[in-house]
Amino acid sequence: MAEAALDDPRVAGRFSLPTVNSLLPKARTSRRLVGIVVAFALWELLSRQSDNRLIPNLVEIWDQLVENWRSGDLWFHGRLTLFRGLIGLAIALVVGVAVGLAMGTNRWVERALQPLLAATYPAPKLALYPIFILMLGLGGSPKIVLVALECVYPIIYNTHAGARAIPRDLVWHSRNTEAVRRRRLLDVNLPATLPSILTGLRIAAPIMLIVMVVTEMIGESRGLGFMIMDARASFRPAGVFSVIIVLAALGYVIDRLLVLATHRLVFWEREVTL
Amino acid sequence: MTATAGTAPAMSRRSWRDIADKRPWVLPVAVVLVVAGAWELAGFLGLLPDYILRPTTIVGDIVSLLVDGTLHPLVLESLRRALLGFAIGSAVGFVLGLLTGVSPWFGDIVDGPVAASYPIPKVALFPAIAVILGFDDRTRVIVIALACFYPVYLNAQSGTRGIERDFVWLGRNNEASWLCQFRSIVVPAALPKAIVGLRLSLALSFVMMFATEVIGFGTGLGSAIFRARLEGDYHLMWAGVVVIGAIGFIADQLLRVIGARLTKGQALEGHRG
Repeated sequence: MAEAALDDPRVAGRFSLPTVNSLLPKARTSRRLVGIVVAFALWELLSRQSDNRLIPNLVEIWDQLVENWRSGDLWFHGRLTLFRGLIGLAIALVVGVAVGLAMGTNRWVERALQPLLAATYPAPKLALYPIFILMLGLGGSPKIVLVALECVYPIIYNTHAGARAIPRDLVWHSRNTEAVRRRRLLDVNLPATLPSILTGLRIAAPIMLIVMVVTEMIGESRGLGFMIMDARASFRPAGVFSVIIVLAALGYVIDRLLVLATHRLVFWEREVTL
Repeated sequence: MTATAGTAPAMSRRSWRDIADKRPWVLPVAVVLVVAGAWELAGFLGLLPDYILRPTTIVGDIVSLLVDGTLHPLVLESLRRALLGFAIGSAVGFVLGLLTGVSPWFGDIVDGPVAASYPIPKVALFPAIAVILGFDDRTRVIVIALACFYPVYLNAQSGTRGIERDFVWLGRNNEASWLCQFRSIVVPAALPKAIVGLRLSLALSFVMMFATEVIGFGTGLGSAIFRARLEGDYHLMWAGVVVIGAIGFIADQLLRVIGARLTKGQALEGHRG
Protein backbone atom coordinates (compact mmCIF):
# COMPACT_ATOMS: atom_id res chain seq x y z
CA MET A 1 0.00 0.00 0.00
CA ALA A 2 2.85 2.35 0.91
CA GLU A 3 4.70 1.77 -2.38
CA ALA A 4 1.53 2.40 -4.31
CA ALA A 5 1.14 5.71 -2.53
CA LEU A 6 4.69 6.70 -3.45
CA ASP A 7 4.05 5.96 -7.11
CA ASP A 8 0.94 8.07 -7.03
CA PRO A 9 1.89 11.43 -8.58
CA ARG A 10 -0.67 13.23 -6.47
CA VAL A 11 0.95 11.95 -3.30
CA ALA A 12 4.56 12.17 -4.43
CA GLY A 13 4.16 15.82 -5.27
CA ARG A 14 4.22 17.63 -8.56
CA PHE A 15 7.98 18.16 -8.69
CA SER A 16 9.01 14.52 -8.42
CA LEU A 17 10.47 12.87 -11.48
CA PRO A 18 8.41 10.08 -13.06
CA THR A 19 9.60 6.64 -12.04
CA VAL A 20 10.82 4.15 -14.62
CA ASN A 21 7.77 2.00 -14.11
CA SER A 22 5.37 4.80 -14.87
CA LEU A 23 7.16 5.59 -18.14
CA LEU A 24 6.92 2.07 -19.58
CA PRO A 25 3.57 1.22 -21.09
CA LYS A 26 1.76 -1.30 -18.98
CA ALA A 27 1.80 -4.83 -20.37
CA ARG A 28 -1.98 -4.88 -20.20
CA THR A 29 -2.38 -1.76 -22.29
CA SER A 30 0.12 -2.90 -24.89
CA ARG A 31 -1.63 -6.26 -25.26
CA ARG A 32 -4.91 -4.44 -25.74
CA LEU A 33 -3.29 -2.26 -28.40
CA VAL A 34 -1.95 -5.40 -30.09
CA GLY A 35 -5.51 -6.68 -30.28
CA ILE A 36 -6.74 -3.47 -31.90
CA VAL A 37 -3.86 -3.38 -34.37
CA VAL A 38 -4.46 -7.03 -35.30
CA ALA A 39 -8.14 -6.28 -35.89
CA PHE A 40 -7.32 -3.33 -38.15
CA ALA A 41 -4.69 -5.38 -39.99
CA LEU A 42 -7.19 -8.17 -40.60
CA TRP A 43 -9.66 -5.63 -41.95
CA GLU A 44 -7.05 -4.13 -44.26
CA LEU A 45 -6.04 -7.60 -45.46
CA LEU A 46 -9.67 -8.49 -46.11
CA SER A 47 -10.31 -5.33 -48.10
CA ARG A 48 -7.14 -5.70 -50.22
CA GLN A 49 -7.87 -9.38 -50.77
CA SER A 50 -11.49 -8.98 -51.82
CA ASP A 51 -10.92 -7.31 -55.12
CA ASN A 52 -14.05 -5.15 -55.08
CA ARG A 53 -15.22 -1.88 -53.62
CA LEU A 54 -17.58 -3.52 -51.11
CA ILE A 55 -15.05 -3.59 -48.28
CA PRO A 56 -13.21 -0.25 -48.32
CA ASN A 57 -9.68 -0.15 -46.98
CA LEU A 58 -8.68 2.09 -44.12
CA VAL A 59 -7.17 4.79 -46.33
CA GLU A 60 -10.37 5.12 -48.33
CA ILE A 61 -12.41 5.40 -45.15
CA TRP A 62 -10.07 8.05 -43.77
CA ASP A 63 -10.17 10.05 -47.03
CA GLN A 64 -13.95 9.92 -47.00
CA LEU A 65 -13.96 11.07 -43.39
CA VAL A 66 -11.76 14.07 -44.21
CA GLU A 67 -13.89 14.90 -47.24
CA ASN A 68 -17.09 14.72 -45.19
CA TRP A 69 -15.56 17.12 -42.69
CA ARG A 70 -14.29 19.54 -45.33
CA SER A 71 -17.60 19.69 -47.18
CA GLY A 72 -19.37 20.52 -43.92
CA ASP A 73 -21.75 17.55 -44.25
CA LEU A 74 -20.44 15.93 -41.12
CA TRP A 75 -20.82 19.09 -39.06
CA PHE A 76 -24.34 19.76 -40.38
CA HIS A 77 -25.72 16.24 -39.85
CA GLY A 78 -23.70 15.41 -36.76
CA ARG A 79 -24.70 18.61 -34.99
CA LEU A 80 -28.36 17.86 -35.56
CA THR A 81 -28.08 14.26 -34.34
CA LEU A 82 -26.18 15.32 -31.25
CA PHE A 83 -28.46 18.26 -30.50
CA ARG A 84 -31.67 16.22 -30.68
CA GLY A 85 -30.16 13.28 -28.86
CA LEU A 86 -28.88 15.43 -26.00
CA ILE A 87 -32.25 17.15 -25.57
CA GLY A 88 -33.87 13.73 -25.29
CA LEU A 89 -31.20 12.62 -22.84
CA ALA A 90 -31.69 15.78 -20.76
CA ILE A 91 -35.44 15.16 -20.54
CA ALA A 92 -34.75 11.54 -19.55
CA LEU A 93 -32.30 12.73 -16.89
CA VAL A 94 -34.73 15.19 -15.28
CA VAL A 95 -37.72 12.84 -15.38
CA GLY A 96 -35.65 9.79 -14.46
CA VAL A 97 -34.02 11.41 -11.44
CA ALA A 98 -37.35 12.79 -10.22
CA VAL A 99 -39.14 9.44 -10.56
CA GLY A 100 -36.18 7.47 -9.21
CA LEU A 101 -35.87 9.70 -6.14
CA ALA A 102 -39.62 9.55 -5.55
CA MET A 103 -39.46 5.75 -5.71
CA GLY A 104 -36.47 5.69 -3.43
CA THR A 105 -38.01 7.89 -0.76
CA ASN A 106 -41.67 6.94 -0.92
CA ARG A 107 -42.71 3.30 -0.54
CA TRP A 108 -46.10 3.83 -2.17
CA VAL A 109 -44.61 5.27 -5.33
CA GLU A 110 -42.15 2.40 -5.33
CA ARG A 111 -44.87 -0.23 -4.88
CA ALA A 112 -46.94 1.28 -7.68
CA LEU A 113 -44.23 1.91 -10.26
CA GLN A 114 -41.52 -0.69 -9.82
CA PRO A 115 -43.47 -3.69 -11.19
CA LEU A 116 -44.75 -1.61 -14.10
CA LEU A 117 -41.25 -0.45 -15.01
CA ALA A 118 -39.86 -3.98 -14.70
CA ALA A 119 -42.62 -5.29 -16.96
CA THR A 120 -42.21 -2.66 -19.67
CA TYR A 121 -38.40 -2.58 -19.56
CA PRO A 122 -37.90 -5.59 -21.91
CA ALA A 123 -40.56 -4.36 -24.37
CA PRO A 124 -38.96 -2.49 -27.30
CA LYS A 125 -40.16 1.11 -26.95
CA LEU A 126 -38.86 1.67 -30.46
CA ALA A 127 -42.07 0.07 -31.73
CA LEU A 128 -43.93 3.16 -30.48
CA TYR A 129 -42.12 5.33 -33.04
CA PRO A 130 -44.90 5.17 -35.67
CA ILE A 131 -47.40 6.29 -33.03
CA PHE A 132 -45.16 9.18 -31.99
CA ILE A 133 -44.88 10.17 -35.64
CA LEU A 134 -48.67 10.29 -35.89
CA MET A 135 -48.90 12.37 -32.72
CA LEU A 136 -45.98 14.76 -33.28
CA GLY A 137 -45.34 14.60 -37.01
CA LEU A 138 -42.05 13.71 -38.69
CA GLY A 139 -38.93 15.62 -37.76
CA GLY A 140 -37.22 16.16 -34.45
CA SER A 141 -39.90 15.83 -31.80
CA PRO A 142 -40.86 12.14 -32.14
CA LYS A 143 -37.15 11.27 -32.06
CA ILE A 144 -36.57 13.34 -28.92
CA VAL A 145 -39.56 11.74 -27.19
CA LEU A 146 -38.39 8.27 -28.15
CA VAL A 147 -34.84 8.95 -26.92
CA ALA A 148 -36.25 10.25 -23.64
CA LEU A 149 -38.50 7.20 -23.26
CA GLU A 150 -35.73 4.67 -23.95
CA CYS A 151 -33.15 6.48 -21.81
CA VAL A 152 -35.38 7.13 -18.84
CA TYR A 153 -35.45 3.45 -17.85
CA PRO A 154 -31.79 2.94 -16.93
CA ILE A 155 -31.74 6.35 -15.22
CA ILE A 156 -34.82 5.59 -13.11
CA TYR A 157 -33.51 2.13 -12.31
CA ASN A 158 -30.10 3.38 -11.17
CA THR A 159 -31.42 6.44 -9.32
CA HIS A 160 -33.89 4.24 -7.48
CA ALA A 161 -31.21 1.71 -6.56
CA GLY A 162 -28.91 4.51 -5.41
CA ALA A 163 -31.61 6.25 -3.39
CA ARG A 164 -32.47 3.00 -1.66
CA ALA A 165 -28.82 2.38 -0.81
CA ILE A 166 -28.31 5.66 1.07
CA PRO A 167 -26.81 4.76 4.48
CA ARG A 168 -29.49 4.78 7.18
CA ASP A 169 -27.56 6.98 9.58
CA LEU A 170 -27.22 9.60 6.86
CA VAL A 171 -31.00 9.68 6.49
CA TRP A 172 -31.43 9.77 10.27
CA HIS A 173 -28.91 12.58 10.65
CA SER A 174 -30.66 14.62 8.01
CA ARG A 175 -34.05 14.04 9.69
CA ASN A 176 -32.51 15.02 12.99
CA THR A 177 -31.61 18.46 11.66
CA GLU A 178 -35.32 19.03 11.14
CA ALA A 179 -34.58 20.50 7.77
CA VAL A 180 -37.57 20.81 5.47
CA ARG A 181 -38.21 17.94 3.09
CA ARG A 182 -37.06 19.85 0.01
CA ARG A 183 -33.76 20.76 1.66
CA ARG A 184 -33.15 17.18 2.71
CA LEU A 185 -33.87 15.92 -0.80
CA LEU A 186 -31.55 18.44 -2.41
CA ASP A 187 -28.75 18.38 0.16
CA VAL A 188 -28.70 14.74 1.22
CA ASN A 189 -30.62 12.40 -1.06
CA LEU A 190 -29.58 13.92 -4.37
CA PRO A 191 -25.82 14.07 -3.70
CA ALA A 192 -25.84 10.63 -2.10
CA THR A 193 -27.56 9.26 -5.21
CA LEU A 194 -25.33 11.15 -7.65
CA PRO A 195 -22.89 8.27 -8.38
CA SER A 196 -25.79 5.99 -9.33
CA ILE A 197 -27.41 8.69 -11.43
CA LEU A 198 -24.20 9.10 -13.39
CA THR A 199 -23.96 5.33 -13.85
CA GLY A 200 -27.48 5.37 -15.26
CA LEU A 201 -26.52 8.23 -17.56
CA ARG A 202 -23.53 6.22 -18.77
CA ILE A 203 -25.84 3.35 -19.69
CA ALA A 204 -28.35 5.71 -21.30
CA ALA A 205 -25.90 7.64 -23.52
CA PRO A 206 -25.20 4.78 -25.99
CA ILE A 207 -28.94 4.03 -26.10
CA MET A 208 -29.48 7.65 -27.11
CA LEU A 209 -27.13 7.21 -30.08
CA ILE A 210 -28.83 3.96 -31.11
CA VAL A 211 -32.30 5.51 -31.08
CA MET A 212 -31.13 8.60 -32.96
CA VAL A 213 -29.44 6.55 -35.68
CA VAL A 214 -32.36 4.17 -36.13
CA THR A 215 -34.96 6.90 -36.32
CA GLU A 216 -32.81 8.91 -38.71
CA MET A 217 -32.49 5.92 -40.98
CA ILE A 218 -36.27 5.76 -41.37
CA GLY A 219 -37.77 8.40 -43.63
CA GLU A 220 -35.48 11.25 -42.61
CA SER A 221 -33.26 13.49 -44.70
CA ARG A 222 -30.96 14.82 -42.01
CA GLY A 223 -28.69 13.44 -39.32
CA LEU A 224 -25.88 10.89 -39.15
CA GLY A 225 -28.30 7.99 -39.66
CA PHE A 226 -29.42 9.58 -42.91
CA MET A 227 -25.79 10.09 -43.95
CA ILE A 228 -25.24 6.34 -43.61
CA MET A 229 -28.34 5.47 -45.61
CA ASP A 230 -27.46 8.06 -48.23
CA ALA A 231 -23.94 6.70 -48.66
CA ARG A 232 -25.33 3.18 -48.94
CA ALA A 233 -27.94 4.19 -51.51
CA SER A 234 -25.30 5.86 -53.67
CA PHE A 235 -23.07 2.82 -53.18
CA ARG A 236 -20.21 4.40 -51.24
CA PRO A 237 -19.17 1.79 -48.65
CA ALA A 238 -16.33 4.05 -47.50
CA GLY A 239 -18.91 6.74 -46.79
CA VAL A 240 -20.93 4.32 -44.66
CA PHE A 241 -17.92 3.30 -42.59
CA SER A 242 -16.65 6.87 -42.19
CA VAL A 243 -19.92 7.81 -40.44
CA ILE A 244 -19.76 4.64 -38.34
CA ILE A 245 -16.33 5.73 -37.12
CA VAL A 246 -17.70 9.16 -36.26
CA LEU A 247 -20.50 7.51 -34.27
CA ALA A 248 -18.01 5.31 -32.42
CA ALA A 249 -15.89 8.36 -31.60
CA LEU A 250 -18.96 10.26 -30.45
CA GLY A 251 -20.02 7.41 -28.18
CA TYR A 252 -16.52 7.13 -26.78
CA VAL A 253 -16.14 10.86 -26.12
CA ILE A 254 -19.53 11.11 -24.40
CA ASP A 255 -18.65 8.15 -22.20
CA ARG A 256 -15.26 9.61 -21.26
CA LEU A 257 -16.87 12.97 -20.49
CA LEU A 258 -19.32 11.24 -18.16
CA VAL A 259 -16.46 9.41 -16.44
CA LEU A 260 -14.65 12.72 -16.07
CA ALA A 261 -17.79 14.32 -14.68
CA THR A 262 -18.10 11.43 -12.25
CA HIS A 263 -14.56 12.01 -11.01
CA ARG A 264 -15.18 15.73 -10.65
CA LEU A 265 -18.63 15.62 -9.10
CA VAL A 266 -18.27 12.55 -6.93
CA PHE A 267 -15.05 13.71 -5.28
CA TRP A 268 -15.75 11.74 -2.10
CA GLU A 269 -15.59 8.36 -3.80
CA ARG A 270 -11.98 8.35 -4.86
CA GLU A 271 -11.40 4.63 -4.98
CA VAL A 272 -13.87 4.14 -7.80
CA THR A 273 -12.04 2.94 -10.90
CA LEU A 274 -13.83 3.21 -14.19
CA MET B 1 -63.46 9.49 21.95
CA THR B 2 -60.19 11.03 20.90
CA ALA B 3 -58.50 7.68 21.29
CA THR B 4 -60.81 5.95 18.80
CA ALA B 5 -60.58 8.85 16.41
CA GLY B 6 -56.83 8.60 16.63
CA THR B 7 -56.54 4.85 16.13
CA ALA B 8 -59.09 4.34 13.38
CA PRO B 9 -57.09 6.02 10.58
CA ALA B 10 -53.91 4.37 11.83
CA MET B 11 -55.58 0.96 11.61
CA SER B 12 -56.87 1.54 8.13
CA ARG B 13 -53.51 2.82 6.96
CA ARG B 14 -51.82 -0.28 8.32
CA SER B 15 -54.31 -2.57 6.61
CA TRP B 16 -53.70 -0.82 3.29
CA ARG B 17 -50.01 -1.38 3.75
CA ASP B 18 -50.64 -5.03 4.57
CA ILE B 19 -52.54 -5.50 1.34
CA ALA B 20 -49.81 -3.74 -0.66
CA ASP B 21 -47.11 -5.90 0.93
CA LYS B 22 -48.88 -9.25 0.72
CA ARG B 23 -50.23 -8.75 -2.79
CA PRO B 24 -47.66 -6.58 -4.55
CA TRP B 25 -49.53 -6.79 -7.85
CA VAL B 26 -52.64 -5.00 -6.54
CA LEU B 27 -51.28 -1.45 -6.69
CA PRO B 28 -49.61 -1.60 -10.12
CA VAL B 29 -52.69 -3.32 -11.59
CA ALA B 30 -54.84 -0.57 -10.07
CA VAL B 31 -52.60 2.08 -11.68
CA VAL B 32 -52.87 0.35 -15.06
CA LEU B 33 -56.64 0.05 -14.72
CA VAL B 34 -57.02 3.72 -13.84
CA VAL B 35 -54.87 4.83 -16.79
CA ALA B 36 -56.60 2.44 -19.20
CA GLY B 37 -59.99 3.53 -17.85
CA ALA B 38 -59.19 7.21 -18.40
CA TRP B 39 -57.90 6.40 -21.89
CA GLU B 40 -61.04 4.40 -22.65
CA LEU B 41 -63.28 7.17 -21.34
CA ALA B 42 -61.46 9.84 -23.34
CA GLY B 43 -61.84 7.71 -26.46
CA PHE B 44 -65.50 7.07 -25.70
CA LEU B 45 -66.13 10.80 -25.34
CA GLY B 46 -64.35 11.42 -28.63
CA LEU B 47 -61.52 13.44 -27.12
CA LEU B 48 -58.79 11.42 -28.83
CA PRO B 49 -57.68 11.74 -32.47
CA ASP B 50 -58.70 8.89 -34.76
CA TYR B 51 -55.25 7.27 -34.77
CA ILE B 52 -55.36 6.65 -31.02
CA LEU B 53 -57.57 3.63 -30.56
CA ARG B 54 -59.26 2.71 -27.31
CA PRO B 55 -57.75 -0.12 -25.20
CA THR B 56 -60.81 -2.33 -25.70
CA THR B 57 -60.61 -1.82 -29.48
CA ILE B 58 -56.92 -2.78 -29.47
CA VAL B 59 -57.59 -5.96 -27.50
CA GLY B 60 -60.45 -6.84 -29.82
CA ASP B 61 -58.24 -6.20 -32.86
CA ILE B 62 -55.51 -8.48 -31.53
CA VAL B 63 -58.02 -11.27 -31.00
CA SER B 64 -59.57 -10.92 -34.44
CA LEU B 65 -56.15 -10.63 -36.15
CA LEU B 66 -55.05 -13.79 -34.35
CA VAL B 67 -58.24 -15.59 -35.36
CA ASP B 68 -58.05 -14.68 -39.05
CA GLY B 69 -54.35 -15.62 -39.10
CA THR B 70 -52.73 -12.32 -40.17
CA LEU B 71 -50.63 -12.04 -37.04
CA HIS B 72 -49.10 -15.56 -36.75
CA PRO B 73 -46.79 -15.50 -39.79
CA LEU B 74 -45.56 -11.99 -38.98
CA VAL B 75 -44.82 -12.85 -35.35
CA LEU B 76 -43.12 -16.14 -36.21
CA GLU B 77 -40.95 -14.55 -38.86
CA SER B 78 -39.79 -11.75 -36.57
CA LEU B 79 -39.35 -14.06 -33.60
CA ARG B 80 -37.20 -16.45 -35.63
CA ARG B 81 -34.84 -13.62 -36.59
CA ALA B 82 -34.62 -12.17 -33.11
CA LEU B 83 -34.04 -15.51 -31.39
CA LEU B 84 -31.56 -16.77 -33.98
CA GLY B 85 -29.52 -13.58 -33.68
CA PHE B 86 -29.80 -13.67 -29.90
CA ALA B 87 -28.73 -17.33 -29.74
CA ILE B 88 -25.68 -16.82 -31.96
CA GLY B 89 -24.56 -13.53 -30.44
CA SER B 90 -25.02 -14.52 -26.83
CA ALA B 91 -23.46 -17.98 -27.29
CA VAL B 92 -20.32 -16.46 -28.80
CA GLY B 93 -20.35 -13.73 -26.14
CA PHE B 94 -20.75 -16.24 -23.31
CA VAL B 95 -17.92 -18.55 -24.41
CA LEU B 96 -15.57 -15.74 -25.35
CA GLY B 97 -16.39 -13.82 -22.18
CA LEU B 98 -15.56 -16.83 -19.99
CA LEU B 99 -12.36 -17.61 -21.89
CA THR B 100 -11.13 -14.03 -21.75
CA GLY B 101 -12.05 -13.87 -18.09
CA VAL B 102 -10.06 -16.99 -17.28
CA SER B 103 -7.00 -16.12 -19.34
CA PRO B 104 -5.82 -12.54 -18.66
CA TRP B 105 -3.43 -12.63 -21.61
CA PHE B 106 -6.03 -13.73 -24.15
CA GLY B 107 -8.48 -11.43 -22.40
CA ASP B 108 -6.42 -8.30 -22.98
CA ILE B 109 -5.98 -9.06 -26.68
CA VAL B 110 -9.71 -9.58 -27.26
CA ASP B 111 -10.68 -6.73 -24.95
CA GLY B 112 -8.90 -4.18 -27.14
CA PRO B 113 -11.06 -4.57 -30.26
CA VAL B 114 -14.18 -5.18 -28.16
CA ALA B 115 -13.68 -1.97 -26.18
CA ALA B 116 -12.89 -0.07 -29.38
CA SER B 117 -16.03 -1.27 -31.16
CA TYR B 118 -18.28 -1.09 -28.10
CA PRO B 119 -19.39 2.56 -28.56
CA ILE B 120 -20.53 1.95 -32.16
CA PRO B 121 -24.33 1.84 -32.28
CA LYS B 122 -24.65 -1.62 -33.85
CA VAL B 123 -27.66 -0.55 -35.91
CA ALA B 124 -25.29 1.64 -37.89
CA LEU B 125 -23.57 -1.54 -39.10
CA PHE B 126 -26.80 -2.74 -40.68
CA PRO B 127 -26.47 -0.69 -43.88
CA ALA B 128 -22.73 -1.38 -43.92
CA ILE B 129 -23.25 -5.14 -43.93
CA ALA B 130 -26.22 -4.71 -46.26
CA VAL B 131 -23.85 -3.20 -48.82
CA ILE B 132 -22.16 -6.59 -48.98
CA LEU B 133 -25.01 -9.05 -48.33
CA GLY B 134 -28.05 -6.97 -49.25
CA PHE B 135 -31.02 -6.15 -47.02
CA ASP B 136 -31.93 -9.74 -46.30
CA ASP B 137 -32.32 -12.12 -43.39
CA ARG B 138 -28.65 -13.00 -43.09
CA THR B 139 -27.77 -9.34 -42.59
CA ARG B 140 -30.52 -8.90 -40.01
CA VAL B 141 -29.46 -11.95 -38.01
CA ILE B 142 -25.80 -10.88 -38.12
CA VAL B 143 -26.60 -7.39 -36.84
CA ILE B 144 -28.86 -8.72 -34.07
CA ALA B 145 -26.14 -11.21 -33.10
CA LEU B 146 -23.51 -8.44 -33.03
CA ALA B 147 -25.66 -6.31 -30.75
CA CYS B 148 -26.40 -9.27 -28.45
CA PHE B 149 -22.73 -10.20 -28.19
CA TYR B 150 -21.56 -7.25 -26.09
CA PRO B 151 -23.74 -7.39 -22.95
CA VAL B 152 -23.26 -11.17 -22.58
CA TYR B 153 -19.52 -10.93 -23.23
CA LEU B 154 -18.99 -8.13 -20.71
CA ASN B 155 -21.16 -9.70 -18.02
CA ALA B 156 -19.80 -13.24 -18.44
CA GLN B 157 -16.29 -11.82 -18.22
CA SER B 158 -17.00 -9.82 -15.09
CA GLY B 159 -18.70 -12.94 -13.68
CA THR B 160 -15.40 -14.81 -13.86
CA ARG B 161 -13.71 -12.02 -11.91
CA GLY B 162 -15.81 -12.86 -8.88
CA ILE B 163 -14.92 -16.57 -8.73
CA GLU B 164 -13.78 -17.53 -5.27
CA ARG B 165 -10.09 -18.42 -5.21
CA ASP B 166 -10.82 -21.37 -2.94
CA PHE B 167 -12.82 -23.14 -5.64
CA VAL B 168 -10.04 -22.72 -8.17
CA TRP B 169 -7.48 -24.05 -5.68
CA LEU B 170 -9.77 -26.92 -4.84
CA GLY B 171 -10.03 -27.79 -8.52
CA ARG B 172 -6.26 -27.63 -9.00
CA ASN B 173 -5.69 -29.64 -5.87
CA ASN B 174 -7.91 -32.38 -7.21
CA GLU B 175 -5.91 -32.35 -10.44
CA ALA B 176 -9.09 -31.77 -12.37
CA SER B 177 -8.51 -31.33 -16.09
CA TRP B 178 -8.72 -27.83 -17.57
CA LEU B 179 -12.04 -28.62 -19.22
CA CYS B 180 -13.44 -30.11 -16.03
CA GLN B 181 -12.41 -27.05 -14.00
CA PHE B 182 -13.90 -24.79 -16.64
CA ARG B 183 -17.17 -26.70 -16.69
CA SER B 184 -17.68 -27.27 -13.02
CA ILE B 185 -16.14 -24.11 -11.51
CA VAL B 186 -15.99 -21.27 -14.02
CA VAL B 187 -19.31 -21.74 -15.79
CA PRO B 188 -21.53 -22.06 -12.69
CA ALA B 189 -19.71 -19.26 -10.89
CA ALA B 190 -20.06 -16.84 -13.78
CA LEU B 191 -23.64 -17.84 -14.60
CA PRO B 192 -25.55 -15.37 -12.37
CA LYS B 193 -23.74 -12.40 -13.88
CA ALA B 194 -23.98 -13.86 -17.38
CA ILE B 195 -27.74 -14.20 -17.02
CA VAL B 196 -27.97 -10.47 -16.32
CA GLY B 197 -26.16 -9.99 -19.62
CA LEU B 198 -28.46 -12.46 -21.35
CA ARG B 199 -31.51 -10.53 -20.20
CA LEU B 200 -30.07 -7.27 -21.49
CA SER B 201 -29.25 -8.96 -24.80
CA LEU B 202 -32.69 -10.49 -25.13
CA ALA B 203 -34.33 -7.07 -24.73
CA LEU B 204 -31.81 -5.67 -27.20
CA SER B 205 -32.55 -8.42 -29.72
CA PHE B 206 -36.17 -7.24 -29.97
CA VAL B 207 -35.12 -3.62 -30.40
CA MET B 208 -32.73 -4.68 -33.15
CA MET B 209 -35.36 -6.94 -34.69
CA PHE B 210 -37.72 -3.99 -35.02
CA ALA B 211 -34.97 -1.65 -36.24
CA THR B 212 -33.67 -4.01 -38.92
CA GLU B 213 -37.16 -4.75 -40.17
CA VAL B 214 -38.07 -1.10 -40.47
CA ILE B 215 -34.86 0.12 -42.12
CA GLY B 216 -34.89 -0.66 -45.82
CA PHE B 217 -38.38 -2.08 -45.52
CA GLY B 218 -38.11 -5.76 -44.84
CA THR B 219 -40.74 -8.22 -43.78
CA GLY B 220 -42.10 -9.26 -40.41
CA LEU B 221 -43.93 -7.60 -37.58
CA GLY B 222 -41.81 -4.41 -37.48
CA SER B 223 -42.27 -3.57 -41.14
CA ALA B 224 -45.97 -4.50 -40.91
CA ILE B 225 -46.42 -1.94 -38.13
CA PHE B 226 -44.66 0.72 -40.15
CA ARG B 227 -46.52 -0.05 -43.36
CA ALA B 228 -49.78 0.00 -41.42
CA ARG B 229 -49.02 3.56 -40.30
CA LEU B 230 -48.33 4.68 -43.88
CA GLU B 231 -51.53 3.04 -45.10
CA GLY B 232 -53.57 4.37 -42.21
CA ASP B 233 -54.42 0.88 -40.92
CA TYR B 234 -54.28 1.94 -37.28
CA HIS B 235 -55.85 -1.31 -36.05
CA LEU B 236 -52.98 -3.42 -37.34
CA MET B 237 -50.45 -0.81 -36.15
CA TRP B 238 -51.67 -0.80 -32.54
CA ALA B 239 -52.11 -4.56 -32.44
CA GLY B 240 -48.54 -5.00 -33.70
CA VAL B 241 -47.10 -2.55 -31.17
CA VAL B 242 -48.86 -4.26 -28.26
CA VAL B 243 -47.89 -7.73 -29.49
CA ILE B 244 -44.20 -6.76 -29.82
CA GLY B 245 -44.26 -5.42 -26.28
CA ALA B 246 -45.97 -8.57 -25.02
CA ILE B 247 -43.41 -10.79 -26.76
CA GLY B 248 -40.57 -8.86 -25.16
CA PHE B 249 -42.17 -9.20 -21.74
CA ILE B 250 -42.93 -12.94 -22.10
CA ALA B 251 -39.44 -13.72 -23.42
CA ASP B 252 -37.90 -11.87 -20.48
CA GLN B 253 -40.07 -13.75 -17.98
CA LEU B 254 -39.15 -17.10 -19.57
CA LEU B 255 -35.46 -16.26 -19.41
CA ARG B 256 -35.88 -15.25 -15.79
CA VAL B 257 -37.48 -18.58 -14.89
CA ILE B 258 -34.81 -20.55 -16.78
CA GLY B 259 -32.09 -18.43 -15.21
CA ALA B 260 -33.47 -19.00 -11.73
CA ARG B 261 -33.43 -22.77 -12.36
CA LEU B 262 -29.88 -22.76 -13.68
CA THR B 263 -28.56 -20.74 -10.78
CA LYS B 264 -30.48 -22.54 -8.09
CA GLY B 265 -29.01 -21.68 -4.72
CA GLN B 266 -27.19 -18.63 -6.02
CA ALA B 267 -28.65 -15.18 -5.59
CA LEU B 268 -29.73 -13.98 -9.01
CA GLU B 269 -28.45 -10.51 -9.62
CA GLY B 270 -30.77 -7.94 -11.09
CA HIS B 271 -33.63 -9.63 -9.29
CA ARG B 272 -36.57 -7.30 -9.21
CA GLY B 273 -39.82 -7.90 -7.45
